[in-house]
Amino acid sequence: MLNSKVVSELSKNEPEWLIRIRKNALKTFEKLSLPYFKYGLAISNNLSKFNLDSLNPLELQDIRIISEGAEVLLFEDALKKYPKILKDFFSSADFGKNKFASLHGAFFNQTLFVVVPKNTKAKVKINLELKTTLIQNLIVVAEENSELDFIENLNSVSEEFRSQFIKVIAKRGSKIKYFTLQDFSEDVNNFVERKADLKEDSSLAWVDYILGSKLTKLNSSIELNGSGSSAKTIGAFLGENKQGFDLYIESVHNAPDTHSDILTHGTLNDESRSIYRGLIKIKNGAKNSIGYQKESTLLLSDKAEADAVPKLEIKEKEVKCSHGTAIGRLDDEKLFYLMARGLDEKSAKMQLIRAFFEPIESQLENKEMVSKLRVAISKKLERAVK
Amino acid sequence: MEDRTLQIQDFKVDRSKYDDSSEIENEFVADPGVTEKLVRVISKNKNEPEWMLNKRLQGYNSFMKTKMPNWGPDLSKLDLNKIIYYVKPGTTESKKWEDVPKEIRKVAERIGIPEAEKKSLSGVGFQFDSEMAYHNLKKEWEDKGVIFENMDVAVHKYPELVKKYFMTNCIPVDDHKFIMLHAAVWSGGTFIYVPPKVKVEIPLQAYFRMNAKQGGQFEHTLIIADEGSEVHYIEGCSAPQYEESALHAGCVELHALEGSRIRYSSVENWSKNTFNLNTKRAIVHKNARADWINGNLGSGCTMLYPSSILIGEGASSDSLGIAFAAKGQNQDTGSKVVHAAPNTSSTIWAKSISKNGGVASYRGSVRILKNAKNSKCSVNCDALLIGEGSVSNTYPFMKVENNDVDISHEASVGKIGDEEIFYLMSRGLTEEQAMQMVVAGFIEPVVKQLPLEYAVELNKLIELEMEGSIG
Repeated sequence: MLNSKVVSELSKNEPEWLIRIRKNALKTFEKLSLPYFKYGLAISNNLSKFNLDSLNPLELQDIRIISEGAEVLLFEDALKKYPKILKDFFSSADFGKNKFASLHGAFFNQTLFVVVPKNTKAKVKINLELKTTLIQNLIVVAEENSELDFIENLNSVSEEFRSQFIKVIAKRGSKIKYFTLQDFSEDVNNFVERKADLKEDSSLAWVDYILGSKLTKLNSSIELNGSGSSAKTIGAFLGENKQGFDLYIESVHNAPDTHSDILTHGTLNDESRSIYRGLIKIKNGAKNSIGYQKESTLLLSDKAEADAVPKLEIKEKEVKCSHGTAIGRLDDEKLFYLMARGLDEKSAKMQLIRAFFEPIESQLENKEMVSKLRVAISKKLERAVK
Repeated sequence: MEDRTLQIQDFKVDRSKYDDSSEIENEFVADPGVTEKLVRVISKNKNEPEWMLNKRLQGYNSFMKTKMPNWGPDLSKLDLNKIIYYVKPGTTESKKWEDVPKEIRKVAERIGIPEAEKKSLSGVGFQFDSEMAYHNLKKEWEDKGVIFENMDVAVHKYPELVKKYFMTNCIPVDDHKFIMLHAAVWSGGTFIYVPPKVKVEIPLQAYFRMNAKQGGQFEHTLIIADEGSEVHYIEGCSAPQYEESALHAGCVELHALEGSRIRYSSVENWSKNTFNLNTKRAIVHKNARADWINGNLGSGCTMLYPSSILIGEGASSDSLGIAFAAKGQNQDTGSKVVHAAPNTSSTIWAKSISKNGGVASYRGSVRILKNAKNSKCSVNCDALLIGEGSVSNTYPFMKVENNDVDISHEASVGKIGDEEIFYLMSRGLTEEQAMQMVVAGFIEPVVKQLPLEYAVELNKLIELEMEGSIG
């Protein structure tokens, strides 16, 4: 189902330049074989047996968007109003990176464009119930001094494939909070490539709950291009059964007085597996920058597997930068202590797991987000603590 | 003791004494480049048994087939065809200091070898280019059955031990490109065997000196600590400064048998145009322990990742490292641990200083295999950046395959605090002295682990490197 006919069908009403991009991506797609990702010596994620036969990009997915204060456009309207941003998005997206990226470039079947006007406060909520192959582009622009609260609620009804390319542009003085609650069923393959461009004094908080999906491959990159900008990437993942999470999160400091924070906590039960890679990059000249990175994984079963690669690349001395990572299990002594205080084993374990996610909770300003995390913990980890 | 302290105060390091080359008559200098003929010549020269020649040829053949590594620092300036792989100075190994040729003795004395021996060592070896020049072990230890020998001699004298442990299960010949090269052209180095339950209380030492132009040094160190034994081995390395690049591709294999303990310390101070592509690995058996202590100051480009493979229950390993990268230097160092048995533990502590455009990277790997229950590992990296354009990178890889473990990694990068400098200056130090003091404090935890002479040398070397770093 992934051939040039489908590409022509998808690009029926598109301008010439975009058709060319699709066709180039298709060429790459046909040439490349499925990837076997290798990170360093021993860490790898083998997708060379991935099955692409069932994908059907022609069947369109409906999506519910509730917007207050922001302009939400589909491709055609966006092309009329913001041709330059759109063109930039497509020409700068790296569709040649690997088989899945080229698949995205050739077969994307939805493009959303969200703009928050200057000096405006806006709220956007997207509810998705995945029913078919969704290959989506999402562009979010926060104009100067605007504020955006963006929520993505993701569910699914059947075994599906979803790929998403996101570009966020935060203009001077804007503030974006972007929250994704991903609770797909455990047979969905989920690929996300996202980039953010932060201008002067802007801020972005990216919060992810990764609960569902069979495989999630997330590549997240924030470039702090304007001085005084700040970024947070906060993630919680809860793996069970045979779920696999392959997460790459980076903060790139290109300007002085920038501040970035990466915080990721996750639990792995059964035979689930996580690969976490993080990078803080501080370019020469980005003086007085502060970068922080912390990753913790709690292994709840003997067959779970966790890999971590927290990297730093620092080319400026006037900085503060640190990172830490820990992989471990529930502490027997703490468990014993709680049980001596009268808790049964199950509640004691639950308490410890909740406490493990506390650093994430304390970063969340939104009460609803906190309660959603708690619900997810009790729902997903009930089996793990018994 | 008092006497000793006095001596230490007099201890001064003068960079020029390392950088000077010496006019030495060499008995044999190979043409640049490695060929099968050369490999055979080296083997013949050493009168080696057939099995060793075969090992060399296996290494040579694999080397020719293998590509250069495509990760880490840039090795494009390393022209393997311009390196001279074998230089034999006009000397045979001596047991008495007086018998060492005068010129070589002068170099050794300038670096401080015999004094060190007199002071506090059980034995000492000195290698000049490809061949060992001097070797001595105190009688006390010889009587207890300790073997401290030139690697070349050990091949003839102790064929059974060497056959069993030399490039077999620890670092096999085909491990990577530079080990293949090493296997083909290795020469000299140290062989140590400590019999069961013998504890060698004071350190054994060897010093490696590369003197020839465009030289390559490929010494092989093999240490076997038999059950329940203990040994501490110290290695120092240096080379004079020439215009052409030199290559050091040494190989260190440690076998810590059940309940034994090996401590391996080295201070590498190769000249700044040396490529230091060294491989060090330990196989650690049940309840044994291997400790690595490394100071990397010299060389233009270092790739060095001491590894410990913990294969026995209760095995443990410690790795401590300091890397100092001044302008034009790329120190790519780190540590690697594989936990392959239950109740194993390891710690890695790496400290790096990048100055005025130097590049220091920590590249490490920790692997906990499925059966390595109740294992513990902690990794700690600290980096200090001084001057403009300095770079610090951290690349820690961690792979955990069971849940009965505790793993942690921490790293921090920063500059010297203005307040610290201000405080020290207000106490009457100059800015330069204050900087030196802060740096000395930064590396203190590693220096503490070194024997006194080495600690002093390391401190002095860093002081020397720090000179003129203000402004």
